Amino acid sequence: MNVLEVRDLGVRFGEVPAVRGLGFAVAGGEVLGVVGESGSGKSAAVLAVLGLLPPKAVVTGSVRLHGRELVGAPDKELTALRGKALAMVFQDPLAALTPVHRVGAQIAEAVRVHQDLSRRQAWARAVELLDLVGIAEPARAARAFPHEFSGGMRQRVMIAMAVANDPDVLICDEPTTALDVTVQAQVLEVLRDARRETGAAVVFVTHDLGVVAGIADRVLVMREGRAVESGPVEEVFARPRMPYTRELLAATPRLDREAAVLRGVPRPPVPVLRVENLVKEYRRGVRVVDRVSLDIRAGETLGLVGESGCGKTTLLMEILGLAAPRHGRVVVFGRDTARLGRRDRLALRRDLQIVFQDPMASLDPRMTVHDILAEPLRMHRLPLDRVPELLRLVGLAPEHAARYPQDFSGGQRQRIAIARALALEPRLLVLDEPVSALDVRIRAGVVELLAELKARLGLAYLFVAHDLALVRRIADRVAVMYLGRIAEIGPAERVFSAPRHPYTRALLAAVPLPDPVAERARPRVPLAGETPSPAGPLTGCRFRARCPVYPGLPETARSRCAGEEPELEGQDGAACHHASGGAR
Amino acid sequence: MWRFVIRRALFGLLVLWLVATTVFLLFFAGPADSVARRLAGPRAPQEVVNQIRDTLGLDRPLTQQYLGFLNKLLHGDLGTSFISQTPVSTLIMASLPATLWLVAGAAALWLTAGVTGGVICATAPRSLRDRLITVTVLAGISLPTFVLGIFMIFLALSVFPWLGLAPGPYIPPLEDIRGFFQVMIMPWITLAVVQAAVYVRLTRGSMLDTLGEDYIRTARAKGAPEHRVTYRHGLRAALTPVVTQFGVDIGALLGGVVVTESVFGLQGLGQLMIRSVRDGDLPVIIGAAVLAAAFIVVANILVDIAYSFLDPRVRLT
Ligand code: SF4
Repeated sequence: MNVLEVRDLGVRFGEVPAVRGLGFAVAGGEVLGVVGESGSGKSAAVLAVLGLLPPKAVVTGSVRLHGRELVGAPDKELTALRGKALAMVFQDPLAALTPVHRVGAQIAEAVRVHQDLSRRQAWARAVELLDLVGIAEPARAARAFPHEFSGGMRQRVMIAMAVANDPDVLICDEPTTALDVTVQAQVLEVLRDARRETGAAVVFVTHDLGVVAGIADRVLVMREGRAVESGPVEEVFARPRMPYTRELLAATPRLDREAAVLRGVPRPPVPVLRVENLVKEYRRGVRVVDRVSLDIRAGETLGLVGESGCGKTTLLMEILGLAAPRHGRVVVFGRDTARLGRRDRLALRRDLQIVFQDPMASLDPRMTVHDILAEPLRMHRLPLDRVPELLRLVGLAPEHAARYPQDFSGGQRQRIAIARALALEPRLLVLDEPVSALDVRIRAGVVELLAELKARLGLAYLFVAHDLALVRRIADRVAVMYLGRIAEIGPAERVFSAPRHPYTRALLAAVPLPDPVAERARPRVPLAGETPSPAGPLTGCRFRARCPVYPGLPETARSRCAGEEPELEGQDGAACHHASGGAR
Repeated sequence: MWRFVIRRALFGLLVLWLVATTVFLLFFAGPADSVARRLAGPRAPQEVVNQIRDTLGLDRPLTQQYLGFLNKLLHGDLGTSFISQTPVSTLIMASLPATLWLVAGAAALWLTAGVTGGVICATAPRSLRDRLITVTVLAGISLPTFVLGIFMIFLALSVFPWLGLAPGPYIPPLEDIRGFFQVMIMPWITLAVVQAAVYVRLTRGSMLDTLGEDYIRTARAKGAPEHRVTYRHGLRAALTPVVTQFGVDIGALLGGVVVTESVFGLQGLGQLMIRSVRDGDLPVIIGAAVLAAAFIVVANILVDIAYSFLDPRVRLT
């Protein structure tokens, strides 16, 4: 029995169509995954189902809930259904929760608008729901404000709110996109439970094929407002019929496959960057980066991975600052930053360039592409005739130099940012999440370009990313950071195929595979908890509280974890007393 | 929070000290005779000038005068008026109630009207009622206070004389509550109309921003009725800029509402200030300036405390 039926749905914003002729149906207890890139109309489509689009949007077609037509239904009727029969989980849970009310009150509100309960009863129910979605000490947590919660906890609150009235349809719009991978795994688990508890029909909107493979029963692929392909998830992934679906699948990097194509060519091991025992402290001795050592050799890509709060951004900033660190050493191209004069520092900056995550924010919209690329050349008094060559280098037409950044797509803008970084012929490029803001097909193109540039120009990359599958595709070596320290470092192939640190293993296990059969066959043991604050007392191994190995260890082995901080030895190993070379 | 209040209070004292010092230097720096002449006015006979020089001790070194001035100020002694020979503090205490009541009553009116109007506009942007209110607001902003005030007095005296509304003088509420309202209602409305205009625009803009936030959509997705979405989830976050403006306005107005007080003949601080400036009554000018600065300082501290109640993310540090 289909609970929700959508037929010939259309959404227009003024003259611009966002969704055209879309149809789908979901039965109770079933999960429909809706996938598409940005601008595919997937979010507009589900918001139209709830009638939550801004008033200027025109919705046509039919949306039936239990056979009852919703398009054009009076506002009052929709309000009564929303949050009760039709519930929604939104993407960014910080923006999606009212900042000035306690989370308990926000959940209680969802209960009270649909059920005749007293304030006290509604609050009790809110606490119960928080417990249900796995929040520790729910009675106390209910009194917190959203900003006091981590992203994962906020998303749990959103889910608690959505299931508060036992909905028939649960719509999730990119519910895990802003989250770290281990937290994503936890939240997906909560959503699975929620579906089981409520028996709701679930519409799950996402751009991540891995997530869909893990959670959906059927998939609907959308592009430019239309349905491209739909069917049972195993079938669509194994035998995609449409070229677009095939393209999407091909562009999605897979963590479980080796992809050596983009690796560098072996070069003499000249170190371009060496970091030794670097420490960065904030006030009161809180170490955000704690005795980190790593090096990058010419022509090599070091992938730096870790979840939010692991200190990778701080580490980058320390390196890029080219200033003398308080503790430890940073040696760039053989020169110790502690012993640099101002002039040397400026000269070194030429060799060390950075590309940021968001090209729109890093490119001045009032400058033409030519000016953007010419600026670093001017600053170092170099001839400007390199601009056309730079554009060609990143796969853009030199004729486009007179345009402004806004005239380009996201992927092209990132190419411009790369061209600017290359203008001064650097030897080391720091790439800070360079493709995270891009759609998967465009992402693949930019990664390809980076690999090609590396091979052609002999660049070294420090590649910071949270997408592990992507790192596997491009990095020669990988460093995994946890709470300010490097947990594991080594050749990419070794780290990915035989991870030694329990954290690395958990991290890898949390990345969903874009393959329903393989994904469902994997045991699901999400890592508990979230990265704690570096301000907490640290004795012994800092991963201990979350370590899945630790509880199973014999007493003597455990006391070592608790009493002695494991150190990382060399450039291939794990900072764990009980590291194993075994399989995941 | 107490640490915050203490720190801000100390900072406020610093501001007051700077204001007092500036005023002092402005009037007392320079040779004794020319200072005395400046204080006495250009047409005063030489005896008066001499007398002023002697009573104020202008012959003493400047630092000594300054220390004496500060010492008196700290003891709440603001000196004695040249003109009426009354202590300045007495003059101020006599004028303060009229201004205080004027601002308090008008503030209640303009805040209610301004915020309500702004919310009504923001919930239906570009609708007929939004446009109507916006036009009214523009009229309110462009209308000079004294024109509105005189018009109201005209209405009160010749069209609705049975209401008993009359321009000042100020009547204390404890003496005659009916008379108090009859005197105060017109100035309240006059002041509120001009102020409310600003608040409508401010609230409308801030509310429009807030109503575009994701959490508003979440509240709707819960099935919360629209008025609840608007007021419970929207308004509170939207109030922050309104509160800022409110603090600034209250602080500034308490120092004296010059035009409204004159039009309605209320003997408030604004009137006192005007009179003392016209007469060159220096001690009164200094006293009023320091008091006005004190109001602004206190209002700002209160605004910051109000923030922390409106928005739990704000930490008072
Ligand atoms: S040292 Fe102990 S607690 Fe730390 S990761 Fe290894 S096994 Fe786990």
